Amino acid sequence: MTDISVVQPLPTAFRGLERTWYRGLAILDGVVVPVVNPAAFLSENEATDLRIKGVTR
Amino acid sequence: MTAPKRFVLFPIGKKRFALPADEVAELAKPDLLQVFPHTTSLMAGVLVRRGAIIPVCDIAQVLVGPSAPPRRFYLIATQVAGRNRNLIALPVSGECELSSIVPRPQTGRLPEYVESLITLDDEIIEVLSLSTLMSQDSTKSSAMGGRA
Repeated sequence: MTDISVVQPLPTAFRGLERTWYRGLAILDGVVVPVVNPAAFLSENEATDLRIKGVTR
Repeated sequence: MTAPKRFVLFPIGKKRFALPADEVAELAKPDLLQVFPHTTSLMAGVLVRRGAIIPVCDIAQVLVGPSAPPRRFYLIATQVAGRNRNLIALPVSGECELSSIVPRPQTGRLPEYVESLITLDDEIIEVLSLSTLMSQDSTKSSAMGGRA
């Protein structure tokens, strides 16, 4: 477990879906770590729906 | 007579391109490119420089296509987005040169991202508009195999 004290906003040059995937970027020992936005994960219902449609297993 | 303007000339493969000098912050040695999943065309990843996260935009895909040689340096430029000026790293394949030249407007059917042209000896160099270039669809460019 690591504490992240500063989350920098995703640079505006990134304009795709990643803007919803990530809350921002953190730097840990010089390594850039994307901080995931929990809302970007599929909900239980959405996952079930995709399984029913055969998109996922 | 129009006064000369300062440009930074940089090579990508066998061809040189230019950016207005006031849009260039520095030329950086190869740094650790850090990547993470994303969907934005041309973005190669990010660099960490002095604690700041700088996005890396591989404009060579548009300018010379997938056959571009390995890039050796990063040209750190400023990109104007609305009221903000953001740093962006452009991988280039060799040393850069600062030059004062009178630009001439681009003529003919050059891409929109060519802002103007400068002539140096017998070489014609395209001055790029970074904002226009970065909005290019790389899929389209790759399909055309670049412009080399």
